[in-house]
Amino acid sequence: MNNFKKQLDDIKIPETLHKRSLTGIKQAEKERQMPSKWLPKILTATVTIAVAGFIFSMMKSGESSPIKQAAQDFTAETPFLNTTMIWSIAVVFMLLVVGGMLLAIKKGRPKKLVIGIGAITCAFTLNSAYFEQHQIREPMVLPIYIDLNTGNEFTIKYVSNKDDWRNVIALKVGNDFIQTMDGQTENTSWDAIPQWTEREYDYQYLRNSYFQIADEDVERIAQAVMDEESYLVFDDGAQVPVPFIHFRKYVEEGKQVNTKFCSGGMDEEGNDHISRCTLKQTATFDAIHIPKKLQEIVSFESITTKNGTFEEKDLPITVEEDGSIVIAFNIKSAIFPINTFVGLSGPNGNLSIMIFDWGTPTQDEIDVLLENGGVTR
Amino acid sequence: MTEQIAMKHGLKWLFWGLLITVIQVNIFVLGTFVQSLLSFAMLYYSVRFFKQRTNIPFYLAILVVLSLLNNNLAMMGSSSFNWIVLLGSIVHVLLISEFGKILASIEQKLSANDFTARIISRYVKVHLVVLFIFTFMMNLNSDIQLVILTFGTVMLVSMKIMLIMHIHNLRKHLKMRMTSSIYNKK
Repeated sequence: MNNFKKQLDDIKIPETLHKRSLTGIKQAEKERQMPSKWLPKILTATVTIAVAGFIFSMMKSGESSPIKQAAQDFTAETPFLNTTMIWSIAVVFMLLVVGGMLLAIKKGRPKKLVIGIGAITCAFTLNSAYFEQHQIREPMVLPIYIDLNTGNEFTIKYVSNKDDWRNVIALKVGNDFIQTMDGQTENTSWDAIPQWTEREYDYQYLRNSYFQIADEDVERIAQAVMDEESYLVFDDGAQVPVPFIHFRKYVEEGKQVNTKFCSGGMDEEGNDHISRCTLKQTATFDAIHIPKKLQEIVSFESITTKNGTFEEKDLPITVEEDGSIVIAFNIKSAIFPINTFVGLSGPNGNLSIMIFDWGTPTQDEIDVLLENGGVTR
Repeated sequence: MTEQIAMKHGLKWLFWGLLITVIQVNIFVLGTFVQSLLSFAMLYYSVRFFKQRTNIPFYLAILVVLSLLNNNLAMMGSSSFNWIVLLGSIVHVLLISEFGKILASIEQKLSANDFTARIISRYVKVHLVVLFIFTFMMNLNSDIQLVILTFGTVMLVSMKIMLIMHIHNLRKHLKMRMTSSIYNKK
């Protein structure tokens, strides 16, 4: 045993070992001081991210575009929640989280776990703030331009947040309530899309609600729509104003040119509205009729007869009896549904053509509309 | 009750308490709610067999309250719902890390291979990473949401299965030890 002890004592300890142990002690001292060093870093990062988010959102709302200009014509108060308030709450909350993290570490909780949970909470706060910034306070109804035709049916489109599961139950015009045509059912699975959703945007859905008016009520309601405020009534009792631009029962004005048949629809590219008619009589057309409020959206393209294709400057033109005529109108991307009559007029009478556009705004258009506070009459 | 029998019962209830959460019962009305309550009850029952003082009952109480809120608020709006889900997940991670301490001490007593620390650390890390990615879901489009949700769920479930398998192995080890000790006594 003594031999063994002697042998142990004889083993030489390398000098580098002492140095290594000294380095180890220094390293341990350094690590002990860590919390105070990373505190400013985390605080700076948190505040920087929040401020950057705020500035980015401000810059985004400052951009201008033609659609924005168009939307400003219909400006109401902003439908979004208050951005400054949201980001202020987020910053304060994140500072509280960082404070909580420091306290937890001081109390001896596992450092990595606390930092992990803190990072998740901060990421969630920032994401929530960005998400809330894009939520609208109440649904936004798109304007509507409609001449009621046979059946007196019409569709009102509105944009609502994705988690807004309320359904429309009626249209309130003055003291009248027009019930929706659809029986809406509840579907609550996690990936379900609300009933009558036409299009999905980043944070909202474009949804439809369908209405029909009885023949005897049409005139009274059409008058009330233009004279009084109209509201979409939701199943929780909320009422959102409907910006009707034009709403009436279509009545043929003046003498009409006799036609054998007329049919219409969009062309293959979806740009122009094409109508094909065969006339019962010889007729001369010298003017084009487009409603005043739609003159910036709808434009005349061409008339094609057996004699060739004519533009507006070639008017007047004459179409013989039994002659076919193809009339093309262009509807620029409308941001609201249009269902109305345009046409040609002349000494022999008018030729009315029904044109329609679903008026489904694109993502960019809806962004601009929402940033500008939606559209009112 | 000897310590080993108490451990055996504790591990049994812990095993079933975690296993029950792997089964999908969303198709039934209130299925998930009842499942969570059953799981919490089993976990609480298992803690009673371990002598260690932990925060588990406190965390379980929070989880019960959150699942009650979750059940009532699910349709009230995504924001409040998301916050409750996030809080629930964080408390769940804390709960599992507390159970990790208990499992580690059991391993020490049984002189078994100390896998617990590694498994719990991996479980917690994966959970935190998946939760971090999930926080971005509300600002992404539905296609990416679906990919993240699928990927995240697979990761979380696989981690849970790994933990359950570990507890099962620990139970087996304990049973073997108990059998051999009875044999030695004879």
